[in-house]
Amino acid sequence: MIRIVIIDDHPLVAGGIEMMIKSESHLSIVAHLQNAKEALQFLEESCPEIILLDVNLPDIDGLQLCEIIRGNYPETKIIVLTSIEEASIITQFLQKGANGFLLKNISKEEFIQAIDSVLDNKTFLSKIANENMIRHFASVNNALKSVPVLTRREKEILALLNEGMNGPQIAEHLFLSTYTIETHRKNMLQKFSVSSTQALLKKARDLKLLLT
Amino acid sequence: MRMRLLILLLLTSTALSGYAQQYNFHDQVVDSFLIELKKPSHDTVKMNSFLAFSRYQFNAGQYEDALRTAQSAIRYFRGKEINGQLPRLYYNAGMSATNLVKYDSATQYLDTSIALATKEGNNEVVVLSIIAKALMSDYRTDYEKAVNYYVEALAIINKVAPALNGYYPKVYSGMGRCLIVQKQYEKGIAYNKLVLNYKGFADEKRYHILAALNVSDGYISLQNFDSSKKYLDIASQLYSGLKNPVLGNLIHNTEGYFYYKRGDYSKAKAAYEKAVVDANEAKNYYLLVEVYDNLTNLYFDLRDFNSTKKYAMMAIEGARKHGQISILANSFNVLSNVYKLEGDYRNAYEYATLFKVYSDSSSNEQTRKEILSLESKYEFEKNRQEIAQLTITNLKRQAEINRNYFTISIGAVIGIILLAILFYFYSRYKHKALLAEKETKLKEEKIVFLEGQQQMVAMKSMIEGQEAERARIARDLHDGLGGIFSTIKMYFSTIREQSQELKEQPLFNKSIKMVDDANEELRRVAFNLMPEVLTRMGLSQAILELANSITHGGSLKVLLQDYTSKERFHSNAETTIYRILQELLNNVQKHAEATEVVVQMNQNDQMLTITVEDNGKGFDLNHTMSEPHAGLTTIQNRVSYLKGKYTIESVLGVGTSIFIEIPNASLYKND
Repeated sequence: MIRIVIIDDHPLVAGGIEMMIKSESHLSIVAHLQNAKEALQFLEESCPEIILLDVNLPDIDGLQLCEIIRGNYPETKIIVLTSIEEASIITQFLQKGANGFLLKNISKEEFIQAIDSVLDNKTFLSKIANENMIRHFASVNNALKSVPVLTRREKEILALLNEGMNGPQIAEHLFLSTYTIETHRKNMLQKFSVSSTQALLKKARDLKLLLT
Repeated sequence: MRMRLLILLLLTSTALSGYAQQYNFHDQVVDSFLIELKKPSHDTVKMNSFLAFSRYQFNAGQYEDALRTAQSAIRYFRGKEINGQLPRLYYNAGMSATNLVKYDSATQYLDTSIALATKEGNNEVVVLSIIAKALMSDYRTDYEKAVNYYVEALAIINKVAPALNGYYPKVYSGMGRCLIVQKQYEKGIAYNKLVLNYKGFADEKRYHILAALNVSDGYISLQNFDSSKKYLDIASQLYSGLKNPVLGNLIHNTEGYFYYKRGDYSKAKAAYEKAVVDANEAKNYYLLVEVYDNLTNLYFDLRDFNSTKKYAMMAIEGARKHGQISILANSFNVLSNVYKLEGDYRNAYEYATLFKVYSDSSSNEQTRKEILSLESKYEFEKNRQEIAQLTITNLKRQAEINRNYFTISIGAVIGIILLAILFYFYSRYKHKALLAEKETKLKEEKIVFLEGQQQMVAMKSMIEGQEAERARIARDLHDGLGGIFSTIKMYFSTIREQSQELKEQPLFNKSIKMVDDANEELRRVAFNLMPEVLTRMGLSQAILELANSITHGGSLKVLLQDYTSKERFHSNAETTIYRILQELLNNVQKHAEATEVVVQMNQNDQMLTITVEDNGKGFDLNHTMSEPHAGLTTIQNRVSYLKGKYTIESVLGVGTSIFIEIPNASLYKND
């Protein structure tokens, strides 16, 4: 018998889950708890195999509760049950020890699949969550690898710096304030992780961002 | 709100009355003043003329003239020791300034008056000035301070009693009022009843009428209508035979309020209408606004919306002029309700926003303070100009006086005085016209300035209100509708599994698909309203998700370059910057026909800079800037909400760059 505990303050959703597993004799919902306090009290008495955890709880945040449960009950599988799908939030929960991430909009098949996966020590992500994660990591990866892109204004200023002009001269040339030129220069130093104009120009040449 | 209406009258009556009553006609006063003034010597006599003239103008309600007279007298007599009358001049100037709602100047005048009078041991003027300061605090709704001043005044009166016994009822009356305004009805009523027991002091009748009205008002608030009526009748009896439209107005206004509270609207209406006539006769527009406000409430209760709107607009116009903030708040609130009931939600919303600005006690206080500090800024400039003007006038007068002296020696006294009067009227007329012109200009500038300030306050509360509302709706969507859809999906999928027939039923499967679509749509809407990632993880992550979701859409690639420290900003700043970027990217998607957009965020020790640069078709800046562009206005508003600035550059065929700078100070705190 797999015991399941639901921690969610929406009775409707809990009712739906109960309905889904009614015919599954090996699954049983042993408690439906409305908040973190009730949940932690209950877990002290008896620890279930699976916890379905909502992200937004009335007392403390779901993420915090996830971390607490993971710390106290390393064997219990935690499946986050949620209506949000942003990859960065999913990542956060996985980092705090969640075993699965299920959107509330699930079918019975998917639900049973999620239970089986986590019991099999696999991490389960629902379809949409999975797609979002892949996309997210691809973009983070790209951002890490790629050379910073220069904006048009930055290209202009970089070229003039390369010609040996100083801030006030560039300002006069471009009809901008020296203050603005300085801001753009500082931004470029930040982008290329360098601390001087000289180093910036060298790096730009190395990266073939300057045509000289 | 109603109680405040008594202040003006108290100010008027506290000490100035009695002096001017000997003069029956304006011309006579002007004549006697001018005659005294034209005499070359006798500063003492001249001082008395100045005092009398400014009192006369004050009692005639010509506060600006009274203030000017007192100011020019102060200039003339400053440094000369004239039988201790100088503090009185300052006191007169302070009273006039108070009635002109120029509190900063009034405070200065009254403080000077107290300092000088204390030095000279003139207890009466000290007490008068302290009472005036108490009333001013009362008027500025700082009741605690007001009561402190009254206590201070009482201490001095006690010390030198019985010389100043006549001031006891005045102090008690003020304290009683403060208590009633602070909803300490029983105590307030007790103090006012005390006033009614005092007999034989200056202005007795007037104070008794006011005290009776205060008691009546207090009883209305206590729902004790029998006692209220009794004191209302006492006030009316005391008033019978008097011809004082200000007092008449107060009585009729209280009477109207009494009947209004009892639900007898026709009697209330009749009384208020009398109060309007009185206020007009007294030319006291402050009191008129109070009555308009009461009429607004009355007509609203009667569901006569046209009249409600009419009176509310009149009340607003007047209240703006006189700084009656609580009346502004009430009028906006009533108007908002009227439009709501009429189904005009746009107007209802706008007025509700205005109401919020003026009613919220903290922002109310804030607005008031801002308005006052603006006031003093202009006041300073105006005073400078007025003083310059007055110096010229005084020189002219001096020249005139000298000339008179010369001619008097020849003997044509009467003729020359006539000439002098003519000249005086001429120069006064010219002077007035000049001042009026200058004042109009200053007022116009002030209005523009205040309107800007008001817009800023309105914008701030609108932005914050809007975001709070969006967050609430997003949450409700997830919790409510989202939960229902999810549960339907769970039920459907359970049913489907139980029946082979349903598994192959196309319509049933289509229904499940539609529940999925509905859920997807709901998440999309909620995400646009308020992305959970923004509140949970901050701006950087939220922008990353936004960029990814746009890139995922396929038609526009967002290159995000985020060099911020990734630490959290204040939630209002995060939301506002997120909205700016959302709107900018939205514009790129809709209008730019771009394939790529760079979103770059840098932060240094002073500010956050944001660049959004697309490779789209660009646009003609001059053309777009000349027409109001909804998207740009929203961005402009939000940038200025964060005290930042932004520049747009666009080249046709190359693309558009937007550069935004936001000071770090706006990112970490919310003011």
